[in-house]
Amino acid sequence: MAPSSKSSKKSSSSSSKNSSSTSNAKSTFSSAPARKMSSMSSFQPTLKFKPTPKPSSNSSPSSSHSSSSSSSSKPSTLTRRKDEEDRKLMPPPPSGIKPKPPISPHKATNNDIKGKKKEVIVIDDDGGDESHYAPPDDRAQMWTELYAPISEAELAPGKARIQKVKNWLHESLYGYSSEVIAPPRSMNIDKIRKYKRILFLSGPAGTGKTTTVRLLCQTLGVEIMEWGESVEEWSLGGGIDRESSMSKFTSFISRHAYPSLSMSSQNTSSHSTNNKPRIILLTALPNLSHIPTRESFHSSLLTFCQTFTSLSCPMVIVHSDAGSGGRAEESWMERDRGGREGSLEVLGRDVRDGPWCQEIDFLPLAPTFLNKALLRVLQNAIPRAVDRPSQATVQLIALSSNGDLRSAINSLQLLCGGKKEIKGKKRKSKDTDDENAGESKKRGKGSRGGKGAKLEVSRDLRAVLDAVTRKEQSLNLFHALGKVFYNKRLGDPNMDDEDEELLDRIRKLPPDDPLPAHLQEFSRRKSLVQIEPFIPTVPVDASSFALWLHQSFPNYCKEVEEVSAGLDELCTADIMRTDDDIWQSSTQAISYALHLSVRGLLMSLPSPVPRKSQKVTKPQFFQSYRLERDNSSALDHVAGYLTKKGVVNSNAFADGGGLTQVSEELGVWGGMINKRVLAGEMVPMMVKIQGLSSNSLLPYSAQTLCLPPYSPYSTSRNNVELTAKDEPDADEEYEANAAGDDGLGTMPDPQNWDDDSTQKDEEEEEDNYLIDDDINDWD
Amino acid sequence: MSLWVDKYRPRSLDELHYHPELSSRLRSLAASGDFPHILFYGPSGAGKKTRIMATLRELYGPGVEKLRIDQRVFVTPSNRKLDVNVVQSNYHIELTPSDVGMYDRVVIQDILKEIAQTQQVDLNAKQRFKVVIINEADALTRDAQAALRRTMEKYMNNMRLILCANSTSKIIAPIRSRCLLVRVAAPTDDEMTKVLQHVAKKERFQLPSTATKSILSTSQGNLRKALLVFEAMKMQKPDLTGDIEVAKPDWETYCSKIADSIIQEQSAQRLLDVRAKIYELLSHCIPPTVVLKTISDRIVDKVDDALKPQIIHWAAYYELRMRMGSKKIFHIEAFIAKVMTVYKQFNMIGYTEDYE
Repeated sequence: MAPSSKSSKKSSSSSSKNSSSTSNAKSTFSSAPARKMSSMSSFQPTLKFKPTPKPSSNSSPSSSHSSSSSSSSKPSTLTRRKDEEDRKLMPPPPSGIKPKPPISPHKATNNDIKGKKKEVIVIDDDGGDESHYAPPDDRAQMWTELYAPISEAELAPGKARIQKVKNWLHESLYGYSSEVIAPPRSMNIDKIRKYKRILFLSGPAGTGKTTTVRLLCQTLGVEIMEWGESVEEWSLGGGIDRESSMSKFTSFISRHAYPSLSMSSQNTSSHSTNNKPRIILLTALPNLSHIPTRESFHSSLLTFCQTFTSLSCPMVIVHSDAGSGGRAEESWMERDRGGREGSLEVLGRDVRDGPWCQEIDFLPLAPTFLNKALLRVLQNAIPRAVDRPSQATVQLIALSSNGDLRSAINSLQLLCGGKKEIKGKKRKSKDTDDENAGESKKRGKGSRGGKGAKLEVSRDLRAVLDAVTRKEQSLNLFHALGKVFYNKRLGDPNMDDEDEELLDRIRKLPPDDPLPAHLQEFSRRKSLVQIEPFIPTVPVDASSFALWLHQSFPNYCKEVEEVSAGLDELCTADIMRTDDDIWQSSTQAISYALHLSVRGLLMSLPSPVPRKSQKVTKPQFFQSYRLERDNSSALDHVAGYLTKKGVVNSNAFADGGGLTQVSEELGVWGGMINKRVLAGEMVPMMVKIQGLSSNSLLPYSAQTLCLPPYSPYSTSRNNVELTAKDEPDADEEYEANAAGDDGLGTMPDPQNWDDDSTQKDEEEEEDNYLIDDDINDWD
Repeated sequence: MSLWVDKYRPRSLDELHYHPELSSRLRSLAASGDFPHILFYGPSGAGKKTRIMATLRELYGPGVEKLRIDQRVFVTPSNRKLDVNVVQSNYHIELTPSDVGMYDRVVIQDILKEIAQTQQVDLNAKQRFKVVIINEADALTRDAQAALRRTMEKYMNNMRLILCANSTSKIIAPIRSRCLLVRVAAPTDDEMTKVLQHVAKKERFQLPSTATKSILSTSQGNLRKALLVFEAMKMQKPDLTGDIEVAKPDWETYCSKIADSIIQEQSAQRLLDVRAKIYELLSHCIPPTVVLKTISDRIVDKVDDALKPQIIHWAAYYELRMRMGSKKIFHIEAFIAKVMTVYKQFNMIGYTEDYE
């Protein structure tokens, strides 16, 4: 039982013994689910975790573990009902007091928090040198919490990032960087602190954002005050006004921006805790897609930033974004706009662009880092090396988790837990596997050409892993594209390096029925790409994948007929409309579109595909789309400019009494111009006329609307090559190709961007332009 | 300085150079006092807007030329703010609701309600109603058109609508039936020549017939384009004699060069080169349908007669698909690949397969 909640309880349920006992039972009930929630949802173990949390002196007997929730559920419903009755009899608690802080008991362990702290207050004790790891006899614990890192060196994210966070924390608390050894004297520390109000950590889930903050705070001796979206305890209760989560948040912020003065005045004994600096940690954000909520969230952040005193404490916001691997069918348009909630969305423009805020972006963890972290967890979790799963298994888990350490550890725990029953049978083979792991294992592909026994094991292993990590063993994009582009079929030359197992499986498939004569053109050899397993592993959404395919597939065709056939398929898939109005197209249509684009291309690509070191490039589409939007806003500006000019002239004409001479001087046309006409006719011609006459007709912004001079070959080949650099598990063959020479003589090296020539064009254009003076008064 | 297009734009119905019967009908409509909702439609550059403005002048006198620009802010039900520029005088208001895309209904409803619910305040005004000009009416969404339809009947007392569109085909039938349809046809070559001569006379120079001819052939019934080309040519070569290169918009040159390169070589590599060009065009806001049409026109100019119908067929086929789909580049490129295929086959075997 958490002391803080206990104390608050006491204050609310004053003297009645009866009610205090029911409240105790009730908190037991609600603490169990809350506890479970916290352990499932966050890889944010508190660092001072006690291995086997013993019921502390004042905790109720059943609070020890979540496993007890099922057993206690029956009595608790009873007590809850009773509690509700009690509540009706009792006056509602004073508004400032929340009767039930959602506290996970293990978090607020042995600190004596007294007084009136109502919210989730997690105080890490500064010990840190206790023995941290327990024997894993307690399997109900999540390993992510049990074996959280205890020193900075153990943190999984990159050193530079951790250092950044550390510096920020230090600066925001003490006014100077942690790299400076001694605090500079006679310096106003508030000068820096004033502008270090909010640290915004973003990145995919499971990259150690929260863990980093917690650990650093611990080492710096900082008190963390955390605000999490509480589980609504009163949802069934009647009669008591519910405070909206937003107003709770606002009051939380305003209360905790300052050190608790009341506490120090009343409670002289707890002075030591008061001297500790504090930070506010936000991990669960309110529902920002609701606009009023978002606005009030932004405004409370802004107030937080603006009201600085030397006593106020900084805030750290941890925000997991969807991440690149998310298979959510978000549209490319959305993503282009920053469809995942960006910092703008969360913080609001005023805060983000203000001086108070710093953003640090966490990246998905590289498999090597994951591997290291997993091994560390394993070492702590399973003391005997023989009991541990093999290196290869760990590697496989690391690879399949897409940089999400939390999910990797969870998979590992599941795997080890599940193995206990079969361990007796398998231990031996595991060990042999372990020895050979380094050399023969090819991640995920199973051992190639290994002996029967070994193959057996790896299959076993894979079966388990499949069950554990089934969710997404997604291929990386590179690999997925390669599968399509290389269009490998049974009977291709150079099949030696193929996976024998796969070949076998495909050979064993029943032969296709021969096609009738008039359909002969559609007969193909059996494809090595197994569509059904392949489709779910595509790492991006259908629409983006189509763009990637479209960008590079002509390179893999021999004849233009093949390109034409492939493009037809992509077009048909596009008509299913997979992006801009997702809410209208069904999920079926989306998956059909993906099937159609993949199968269609496999059908139309030649077999075997000519290998001439083709390169996979990023779709130009995105760049072009961005440009188009820029240009269309430039066009808006031009339209506005011309309209304004027309209106001014028209008024001058009307004032001039409608004389024809005036009209000829001014060229009166006070009307709006159709944008299509503007883009297609007016602007290009006006540019020409302007260039010839040195009269200014257009505003400066029209400059981008000019086409660059035509050249027969692709001039602006700003194609960014997709490299295997940051994707270490790409097919080697692919890597070799990507790194190899350009087989096509005519193509300029994609690395050599055509920046120079485009710049030159711009310069030339600039000469043609005279900056219109009018432009100033237009804005 | 201003463009000839603006400078010599007729300002009253009397000054219009062509379609005299249309002008007289508009004049009598304006005089009758019973002015209906009107839908002006016709190809680009035929003089729709000029006629609308001239009609307004006929209705209200020169007061309609006292204009002002407003930026209106509309709020959608989802709390999105939309900025729309409107041009208005005391008697009329002009706007392009389709600029805001799918939110045009909000703009239409708000503006029309506002206009319709305020009476004409100017006691000297010749008419009791105000006029709302809606540009690009054929680009309005179905929703917006439906909203328009209700307001049209409800507020007939205080307001008249003038819609301006390229074709009536995308305007829903209820609106068509509530409007007087006025078709402004593109001027004939003779009429265009007359206008060009008029401008030349005003600018005090002689227009040689060779120049007229080349202007007419590039502009294809689009008077605005003709005047722009004319002015550019005059700047290039003040005497307008001899062989002058017709000044065309850059993107047209682009398209014809793309067509050339398609005919030159049919290969996957060439297609990729062409793709870069098309991206270039699209990113400069040239509408994809226009790109596809222009390229197919240029190709048709250059290929054997036997191939022409087939190319037109595929152009139509892919344009339809482009309108249904969302990634325009796929469809334009598929068209080009198809043309390449057809052209290549034709060159190899001398005839084409049945494409139906």
